[in-house]
Amino acid sequence: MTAARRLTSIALAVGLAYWLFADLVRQQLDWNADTRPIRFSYWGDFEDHALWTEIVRDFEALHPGAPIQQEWLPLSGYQPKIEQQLTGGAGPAVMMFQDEPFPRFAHHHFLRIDPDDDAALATHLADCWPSAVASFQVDNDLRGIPLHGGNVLIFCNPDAFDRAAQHHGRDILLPTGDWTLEEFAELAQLLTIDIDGDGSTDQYGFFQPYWVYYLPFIWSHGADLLDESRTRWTLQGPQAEAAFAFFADLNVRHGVTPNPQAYAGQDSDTAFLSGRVAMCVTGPWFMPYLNQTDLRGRYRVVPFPNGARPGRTRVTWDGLCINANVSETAQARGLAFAKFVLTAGVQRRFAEAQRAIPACQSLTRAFVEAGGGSDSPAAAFADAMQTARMQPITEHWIGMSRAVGRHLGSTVRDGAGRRSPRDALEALANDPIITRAFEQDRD
Amino acid sequence: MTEPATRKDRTIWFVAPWLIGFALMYGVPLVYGCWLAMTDWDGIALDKAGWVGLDNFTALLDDSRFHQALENSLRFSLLNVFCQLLLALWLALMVRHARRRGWWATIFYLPHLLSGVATWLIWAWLLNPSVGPVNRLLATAIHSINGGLASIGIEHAIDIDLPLWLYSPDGARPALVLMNLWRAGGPMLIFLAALLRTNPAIEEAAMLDGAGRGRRFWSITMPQLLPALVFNVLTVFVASMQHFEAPYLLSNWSQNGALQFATLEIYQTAFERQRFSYALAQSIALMALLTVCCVGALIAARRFVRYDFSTELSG
Repeated sequence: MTAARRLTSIALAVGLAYWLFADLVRQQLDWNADTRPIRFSYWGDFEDHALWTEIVRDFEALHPGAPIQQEWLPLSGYQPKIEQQLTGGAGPAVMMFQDEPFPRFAHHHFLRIDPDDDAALATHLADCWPSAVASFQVDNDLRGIPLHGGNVLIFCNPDAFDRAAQHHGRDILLPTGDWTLEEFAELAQLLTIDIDGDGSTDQYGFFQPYWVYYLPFIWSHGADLLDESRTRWTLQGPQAEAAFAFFADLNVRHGVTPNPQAYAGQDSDTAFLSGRVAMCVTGPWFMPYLNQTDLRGRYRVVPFPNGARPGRTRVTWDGLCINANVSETAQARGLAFAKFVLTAGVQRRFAEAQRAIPACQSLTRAFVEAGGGSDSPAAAFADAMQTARMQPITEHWIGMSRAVGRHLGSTVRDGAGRRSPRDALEALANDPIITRAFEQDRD
Repeated sequence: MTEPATRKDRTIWFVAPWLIGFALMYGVPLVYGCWLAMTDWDGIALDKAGWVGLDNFTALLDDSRFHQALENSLRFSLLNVFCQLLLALWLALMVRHARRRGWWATIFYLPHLLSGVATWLIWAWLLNPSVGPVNRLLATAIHSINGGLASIGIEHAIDIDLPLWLYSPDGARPALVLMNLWRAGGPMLIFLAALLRTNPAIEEAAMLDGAGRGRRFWSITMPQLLPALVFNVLTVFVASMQHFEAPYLLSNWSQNGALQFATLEIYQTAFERQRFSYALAQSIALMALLTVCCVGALIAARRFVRYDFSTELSG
């Protein structure tokens, strides 16, 4: 090998090594933790990202020398990704977290926050919805700061109602709110129509929801998944059977919800927007999308129907958690950022973005006003918060959720795999995921 | 020191980076994983993990979900190996005598360069039963044929339901096999390389002796292709058994668990049911199963696979 070739080879090797390892070396050599950015993970679409970018910029302006490195991830796969990072000891300093997976990680990974040490934080927390604070507590310890949340209600597409009215030759009014499960089922049947008369349904009354969105219907039937202590499985008996039967009947008996094959590839939002279904269950995060369509100002949002118990929605909260396994400097800076997000200025931005209800109750009015005032869909979500119930979240939530979804789904499955509501409930109660996690009453 | 000894010493140094990488990236995690599989680690608190010995492995014997997942993987893998290699062999035979062989080989191999996730999602849309182009084409074709036949008095000649593909328990796995045909270019290259190394003199001799095309393929070409076939069968089988992306992305409730493959079950055990140690035991069991299959296949292959045809005519 000539000297020139040898030199070229060495230069190339050095260049390659620098390209591969420069960041790592720079990170390791940077011992000054005070100037190193802390990592902040969150999910959302591009508009959420833009909102967080503004919030981070404002925080950095208020706290010079406390840079934040944004790590924007898609919601699907967010929790496993964060879990993998935490398990590998490489978790971000601050992370947005849903209340559903929260209890599983809280003890070991999230910093305990003592509001008694900070009067301003205590004041902000006192202004929060009680369920928001409770969602981020384990054993009475606060391990996350609530950010915003959402409940779910029934969205009604007025164009689909008009089509059904034209088809039947009579008025079909949008529901007003105080209605029963029977009225809901009747309306869904009226809205299910074969417009062109070819024998196939062109418009369905309702989109069969995933089980967490169906949970308010289960509650309306008087059934519950867990008892108050959240240790005993209670989704058994006639009320639970009626709830499962109602779910199955919508599809199998009344045919008011599309089969998976009929809406293959479409989620409830797409099916609703395209007019394929007249009603669907979703949350305030759907409003900004609808407001960019010609349905703006015309669609209606109504509460869940009443059954054995009054219809009540379920509420879910997102919060910011501080990684307990990062340096004290990073923890302190992460906590400062989390507190900043709970201030009125930032909470007002969430209210104006209309994607979620701010954790601070004093900003609910701002949320309603930004959404169009007292008769708007935003007002319906704000009203529903008064009676909203928390989900039966435990550290077994993820497994439980999959099990409930699978067994509830088996009541509308095609072919031999379909189970009766009673069999599905029994199979669910005997599912190893449920039997391992919860106590049960046995005959 | 003798010359061969020097060469051997040098060889060790050349192989060393790979050996070190293998030991660090595979050996250490494997040993660590085996140790963790004998604990009850939940993926969160390693300091609270207790020693459970072989309990996780014995629990596998009664785990009907895992057995079902293994069966699903096996059913898919066998169908996938057969279909993909059949297509790959046919493509290789076509390409071997093509005028622009390199060009065609590149074309058929190109799908391997595309992102897996993106192509699975595109395929899922193509096979969407209600809005996908495949079913629309099928519907148009059936409509046209029925229209043509109706003009000569045959009404509703073809009256079939269009396939639901990924939205039915019976169609999900075949749909996935169909999607995998897209990747037949990889094994095709192996077949093509083997075909190009076959000894043409043997085939010419057989032709002179009056052997027909089929006879020549089964008696002359196929025996020379067997080493490549064994390699392809093993690699495609192992890859099929480890298939994760597609079932993860394309599973839905309509399939009644048809795409609940072993890898997906392991993932869910770890990250949804939070039983990391048990998931490790499942992974180790899957690895052991694949190792036994591969070693068994290699031993069996020794009986009928020959690796040297160079002296075929000289003997």
